[in-house]
Amino acid sequence: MRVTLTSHLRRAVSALAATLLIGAVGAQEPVEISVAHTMTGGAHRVVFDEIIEAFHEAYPNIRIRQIPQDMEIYQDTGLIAMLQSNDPPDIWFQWGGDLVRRDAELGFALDLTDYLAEDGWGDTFLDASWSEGTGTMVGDRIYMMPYVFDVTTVLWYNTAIFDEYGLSEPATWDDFLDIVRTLRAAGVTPIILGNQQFWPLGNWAGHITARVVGMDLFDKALSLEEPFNQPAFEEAFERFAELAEAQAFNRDLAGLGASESMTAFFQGAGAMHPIGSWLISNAFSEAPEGFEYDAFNTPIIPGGAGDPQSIIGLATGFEVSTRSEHVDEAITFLRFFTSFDNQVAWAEAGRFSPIEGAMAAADIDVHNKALAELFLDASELVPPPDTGYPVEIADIFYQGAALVAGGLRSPAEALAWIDEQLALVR
Amino acid sequence: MGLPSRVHARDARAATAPARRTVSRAARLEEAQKYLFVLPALALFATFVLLPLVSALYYSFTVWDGLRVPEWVGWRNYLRAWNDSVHVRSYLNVGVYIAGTLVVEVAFGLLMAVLLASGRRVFGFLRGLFFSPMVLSMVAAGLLWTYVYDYRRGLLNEGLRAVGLEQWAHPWLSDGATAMLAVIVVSGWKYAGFYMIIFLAALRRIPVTLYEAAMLDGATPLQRLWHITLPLLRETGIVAVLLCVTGGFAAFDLFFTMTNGGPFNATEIPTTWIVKQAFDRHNMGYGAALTIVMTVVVGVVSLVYLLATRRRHAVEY
Repeated sequence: MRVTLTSHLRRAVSALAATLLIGAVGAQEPVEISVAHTMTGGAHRVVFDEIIEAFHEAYPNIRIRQIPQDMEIYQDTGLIAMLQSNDPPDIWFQWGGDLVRRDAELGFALDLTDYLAEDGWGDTFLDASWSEGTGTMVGDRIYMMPYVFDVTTVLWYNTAIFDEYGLSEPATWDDFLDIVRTLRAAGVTPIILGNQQFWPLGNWAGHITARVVGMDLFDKALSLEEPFNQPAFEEAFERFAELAEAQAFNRDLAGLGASESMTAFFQGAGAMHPIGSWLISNAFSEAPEGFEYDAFNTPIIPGGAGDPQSIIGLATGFEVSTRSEHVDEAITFLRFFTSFDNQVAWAEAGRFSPIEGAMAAADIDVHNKALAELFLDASELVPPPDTGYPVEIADIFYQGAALVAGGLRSPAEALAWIDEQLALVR
Repeated sequence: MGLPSRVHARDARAATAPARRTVSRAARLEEAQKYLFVLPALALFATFVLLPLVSALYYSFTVWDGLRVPEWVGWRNYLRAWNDSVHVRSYLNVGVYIAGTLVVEVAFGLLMAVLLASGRRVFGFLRGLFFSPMVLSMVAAGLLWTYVYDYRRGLLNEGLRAVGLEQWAHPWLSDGATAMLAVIVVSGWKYAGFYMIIFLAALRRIPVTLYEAAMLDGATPLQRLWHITLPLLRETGIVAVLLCVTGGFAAFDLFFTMTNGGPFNATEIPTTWIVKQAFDRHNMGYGAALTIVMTVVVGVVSLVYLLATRRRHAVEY
């Protein structure tokens, strides 16, 4: 009897313990992963929300808490404040290049190399994802998982205006100047751009400069290892002087905002508009019915030391915090987000997915497809100066280029001015 | 007599000593209570004014991007500020802006106050109309006027085109020669009504008898303005100018929304340059140094102005 009682007791205790354990597990709070980003609206935010919803269903014990911020606030103070806080986000959005290097150097960003190597996760991405050029790596280690590729400048053009004057996409810089002169002579503003904040023209100027001086010298000058005021850069800046002389730009170039100039382009205020791939999504909401447009890459500049087929662009993506207490859960979410099906949906929302085959499988706009091809066919990726290098240096370079394009200084004067300004930074 | 009086004196001392102690303790308690009441305000002031000021002073001697450990660099940021041509130019620009606003805000506000200082209903309506831009936020006003000045579709250029003056249509905010003027006009539009109200309040305090006496003496309206109104508005004018000058140095939102310091730093003022350095370029240390420089400049300008306009022959009335 004693034995029986003991065994009953044991069973009862075991059952009670199991019940308590199950209860405890059932009542366990789900792990929360915070994700800071700049998606405050648009089709891609809708898809992102849907992906998170699907993730919650697939992984009920992990909850994603989004921390969306306006792009400028995020860039200026938002992310810095979050990273300095006692409770930094587990995952955050970042621009590839200099900022990834900074986050890795300061120990904020987790080395993702080994996680991406697991089960061939990293192999599902396009090869272009893993290079310092795209800004995801520091040395041979990966610190940012890309989720969008962006071509930051191509020349968008109004096809109706081009057709009206019998113009076609230029192959070389001289062809391009001919188009500019033809349009100006006809009383059409050849290029409309808002350069109040310097980066819209600056990005394009970076590409032109890299094409003329070559990536090596371009990189050294922006890394402050070489002066700007030297013949190679003067040759590059001559291109902006040519544009100024041909009156290529709108009269309010210096004071117009970037988004206002895009709206003006949609309204036919200019024939061409040098800006990035994000024009496509804006065209959906802003361009009038029947507005037709296309794009070409910066034309070949004969005699340039740089790669004539290069494009200017970068990757943006997510970093994971070294201080996160839930790295495995954060990685689980990133793997889910970059799964093929989710990335097809992501591409259909107008984003250039870095996942192999996602762009081809997605039902996307013809312009998006063309830019994806341009990106994949490019033999070199020039990083935009303001993400590839410290923003202060980029800003000074941008302003120097704008001074020439605005016809306010000669190339030599502008380059001397850039070096003067950079001397204060050093 | 002497002894008893000494005894009395001692007794009196003995009697009053505890009382004095009591009074003294009560006085001290009362004194302490005063400080106790001031303490919350003092704590808030220390937390939100003194501490940031001291920390800004410390950071001004460092190179700091907001993330890395600040690196002490001594006077380097201040030397840089001295050699920074944009920074130096920003003070010239703000000087031009302040001079412009003294005309379009203070002088124009005074003129309107004198012209509209009447009890008639229509004048009251005009005063309300003139004051109405004050209810708008500066950011809203800036954005609104950006559309007015727009080169292609702006009200101003469209108006010029409509009356056949197409050649006068101009990119007002994109040309360094006109951008500052365009901002000054908006500033005047916004604040002249404010100064008008200040001057109107002062005008109402001038006794009518002074004007009546002057009229009996045959003074013309201009003479009455010159010899009665303006001298009696002097003190108000001093305050208005001080407000305009210090407000000019603190200007930011209008410039930020309309030009953001452009084109090519033509409307760059100290505050926009500080924000660009500290937040756009993440040079917090340099930004702090520029802030300290600006604090000193504004302090010195205000002090000099107040000393120069000290009440010497204030008119009592």
